[in-house]
Amino acid sequence: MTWLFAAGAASPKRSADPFSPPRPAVRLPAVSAEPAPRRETVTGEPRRVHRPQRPHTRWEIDEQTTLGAAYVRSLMRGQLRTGLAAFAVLVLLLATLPLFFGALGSATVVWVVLGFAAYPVLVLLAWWYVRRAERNESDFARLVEGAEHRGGP
Amino acid sequence: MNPAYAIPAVAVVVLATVLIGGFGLRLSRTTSDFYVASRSVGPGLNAAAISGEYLSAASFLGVAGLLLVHGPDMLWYPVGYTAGYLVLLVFVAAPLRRSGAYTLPDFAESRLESRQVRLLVSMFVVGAGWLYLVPQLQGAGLTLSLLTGAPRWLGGAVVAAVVILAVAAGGMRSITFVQAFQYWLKLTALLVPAFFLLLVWHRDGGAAPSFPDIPAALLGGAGADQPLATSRAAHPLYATYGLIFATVLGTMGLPHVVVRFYTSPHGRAARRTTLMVLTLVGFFYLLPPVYGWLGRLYAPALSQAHDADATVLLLPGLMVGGVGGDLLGALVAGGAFAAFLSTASGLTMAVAGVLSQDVLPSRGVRHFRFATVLAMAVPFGGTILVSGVPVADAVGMAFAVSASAFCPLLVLGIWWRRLTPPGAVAGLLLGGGSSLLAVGLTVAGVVRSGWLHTLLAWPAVWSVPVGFLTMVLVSLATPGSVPPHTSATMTRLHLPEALTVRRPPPPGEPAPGVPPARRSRVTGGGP
Amino acid sequence: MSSTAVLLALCPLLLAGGFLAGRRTAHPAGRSDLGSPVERATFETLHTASLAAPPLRAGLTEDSARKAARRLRSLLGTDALCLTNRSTVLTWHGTGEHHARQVLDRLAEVLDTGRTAAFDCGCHADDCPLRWAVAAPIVVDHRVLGALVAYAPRESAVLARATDEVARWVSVQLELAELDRSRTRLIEAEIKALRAQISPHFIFNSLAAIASFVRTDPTRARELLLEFADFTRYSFRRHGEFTTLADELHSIDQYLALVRARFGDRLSVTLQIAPEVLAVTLPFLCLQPLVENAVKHGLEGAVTRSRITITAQDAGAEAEVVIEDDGVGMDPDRLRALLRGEGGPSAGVGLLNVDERLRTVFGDPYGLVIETARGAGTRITVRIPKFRAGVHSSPPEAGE
Repeated sequence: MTWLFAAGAASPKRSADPFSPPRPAVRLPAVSAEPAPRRETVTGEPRRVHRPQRPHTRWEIDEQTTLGAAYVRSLMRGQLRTGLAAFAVLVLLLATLPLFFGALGSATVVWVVLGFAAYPVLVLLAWWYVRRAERNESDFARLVEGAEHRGGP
Repeated sequence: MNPAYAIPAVAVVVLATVLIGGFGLRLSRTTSDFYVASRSVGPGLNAAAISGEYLSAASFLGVAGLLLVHGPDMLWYPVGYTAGYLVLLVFVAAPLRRSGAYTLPDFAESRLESRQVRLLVSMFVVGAGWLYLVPQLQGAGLTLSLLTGAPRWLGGAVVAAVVILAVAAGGMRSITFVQAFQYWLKLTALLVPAFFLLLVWHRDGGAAPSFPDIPAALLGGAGADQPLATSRAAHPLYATYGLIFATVLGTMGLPHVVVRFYTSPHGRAARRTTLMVLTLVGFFYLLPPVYGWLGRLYAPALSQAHDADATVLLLPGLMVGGVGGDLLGALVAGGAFAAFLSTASGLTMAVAGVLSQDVLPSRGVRHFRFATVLAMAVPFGGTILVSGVPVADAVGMAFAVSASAFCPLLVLGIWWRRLTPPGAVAGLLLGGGSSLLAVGLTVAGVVRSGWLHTLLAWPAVWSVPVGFLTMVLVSLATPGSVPPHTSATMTRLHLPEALTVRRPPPPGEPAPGVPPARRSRVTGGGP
Repeated sequence: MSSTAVLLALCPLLLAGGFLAGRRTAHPAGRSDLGSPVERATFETLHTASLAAPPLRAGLTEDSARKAARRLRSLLGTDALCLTNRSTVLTWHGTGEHHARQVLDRLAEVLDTGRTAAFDCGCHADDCPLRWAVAAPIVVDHRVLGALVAYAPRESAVLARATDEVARWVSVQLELAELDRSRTRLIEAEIKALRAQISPHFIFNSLAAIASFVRTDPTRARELLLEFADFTRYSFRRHGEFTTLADELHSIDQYLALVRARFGDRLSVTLQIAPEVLAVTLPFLCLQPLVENAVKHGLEGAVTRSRITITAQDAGAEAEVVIEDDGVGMDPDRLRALLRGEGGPSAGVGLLNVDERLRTVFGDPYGLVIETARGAGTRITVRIPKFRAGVHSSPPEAGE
């Protein structure tokens, strides 16, 4: 079956300016060689409909009733606690290190700690947070959906 | 530095940017299958793209320059730039993605359901973007004047022109592959020369440089006339905390970083993307300090001259010399221009988008082009007027404004149900407005010494709490204005996407009983 | 240097000033000419009425009645006011709530005939000032939905007339609410119609094509059947009016696989999709009809192969989707008429529907742009803003 996904080559190349009005398009290389008529641009007429400020909240309400605001609050609290834990470690480091460096007065220590050691610590902290946050979410999913949830990553 | 090598390197970078922008060169699209063609951007790729757009002139040139002049205390800059992503990760990343917002004004509108807040946020985005663009153009001017001896403003003009051309011609859109490539280009441009420089250093005996206890600024050297330098010398501890506050809390509000989160397919991917960004950015920041450190050893004179920011560019020539030094210098120069161009174009896109959408009266082609020119012209004018501030310090100011205005809005917006539009407006005006004012007064040199000067030069320490406090207090005072859909919005921000699609079908609809052979395609390939 | 200083220093002040000015224009604060007492009374009345209107636009419920009753009572200046539907008292505002128990008995006539009536309360308690009441029907669409009852210490013709007028005004508000709802229902009905329109002949053709493979190539038949199941499940899904570009494109891919099964290599399709725009939210089933259109045009004329190109690219704050075919094209004048809704029931309902929905959801600048001529193929451009307040889809499946 030859359903071609011929990429690139066959497609019309045009500068992709989203803001300019559409130009007469480059005609696709047609199979027949006869000259094609020029295309005209057609648009519908303005409807002047006034879009409601927030048109459709049905889906959101649906979500509210199926899962319940209380569930969501508990998830938020869990995630916030995890976030604050990671943030607290960061704040502790950021708050004390300048004082520590000031008291120590050794340039070498500053170079080593800030130039090298800080980055792995940050990455580890972030990695821990991502794992915890994902676990919170899958715990929450299990709580809401029962055993059928497929689980995390 | 030999222009014969460096100028072609810069030209190649510029040309590539224009071509990619103007002709929409697609590196990504040679696929033969729908599932490859429509696969969403993975966290690794997206993270490289974010890093590519994020690592600006301040990181590429500024950090090493500051280290050379002011010593190891300046290492807080790269640490802060990286730690900012940790704060972004723990408080903002996943909910921001789940909000469906593309820009910060979008987020404000969807969370607070108020056009007024949207407009105000737009103005601050433009303000912070402009502040951030100034050092990019400054850095470009410096680089080009070192390469060719051309006047300082010319380099800025070249970058401004290239970005305007590329953006207005319809290109330089947030093409993930291109920005990801920029990250690896910048990394290579610092990593390869650093390797050779360290070899030379080792051959020379591997001595450690000495940093004077008293920063050069006090000795009347470079930057004595620079407003920030004096304040840093006067109150180093406060200045350190000031820059930590600004960089750590300001990252989350940078307009060109925020828009990239839209590309993540879901909140979990946004989180993993941020973790990857932290890793990539952290890895990159291992390099600039090497240049600052070696610069102290091999080119201490630079700290006395006005050109400390040029350390990275000049060091290969000074240490290696000959054709090798010239080639390495050319590589660094090309990388530096990539840094200006990628950050400047990302920022210009973001600022021009906000200008044309929310600030300028009507929409259309001409307006977007006009907005692009405006987005670039104002900071370019700023570059000509203000030249005394080191690149990294100027970026620090943009971070301070971003931290004071957007950090309270994002954190409270995401985690606090009682935030109201009047609260947000008051917090933005007092926190963000005061930091903007402080930065303006500092740059203008209205107050030149004393504690007041220090406080104004490093506003984040007080302006961020002011922003938070105002937002909370005014919100508590206006409980009647809590947006009507707050509960639904909060649910959307925090609920994992997996739950919202896997609801049991309503009765009467067939259960999703897809045979296992087929399902593997849908479930497979987690990030 | 100093001019920058002044400029930068002015920035926050300008921001604050602009904001305040904006608020001022939004709520004009008083006028220099204070107007006559009659004018002032008119303004006050209009203002009170405008405050009562929003809750009523949600329809006649206990909640909306409670919110509106307060305003309506101050409009009428009575001691007590009561809103009912046909069977229960929705709210009572003011004194003498014990009257609420018998009020429905008194209303039978009003609810039946739809005529305003007055009655004595028959209450002689000393602490209750209410002696007389007037009840006016609330009529929407020729149906009596309920009644507005105003209570007073004594008979009053003025109150009777005022109650009648206010009930009429309430009726109009509720009628508008009904209109809003029916407009929403209309859009929903259109989506349903669109889903129904896809199905009959397409389902028949697809099943026929699949059947033809059952003997010759059972594996392929099985695959196609799964595509078919997926496609129909998506098209008939019930929840959500919006979807992501990724999901919509996925469904289009399945649709094309089914078409291909029938027409084989007469059709070649090129897809170019920028990954940045996959998360964009758009109205459900608004690209599929366009692709169907392209397929139809492609297959109608060309004896040999026809080509369809679908591109989705990133354009800053928007995504741009282009669907292009080299088929028979359309007569521009006929197309114009069709987009005006004058095309007759048979042709191109899909195009009109998509155009209308895009304009309704995103605003007029986001209608379809179609470039075509007879024999010149067709190129349809859809622009979709990346963010629009209130437009959220069920997000793509995690892990995809």
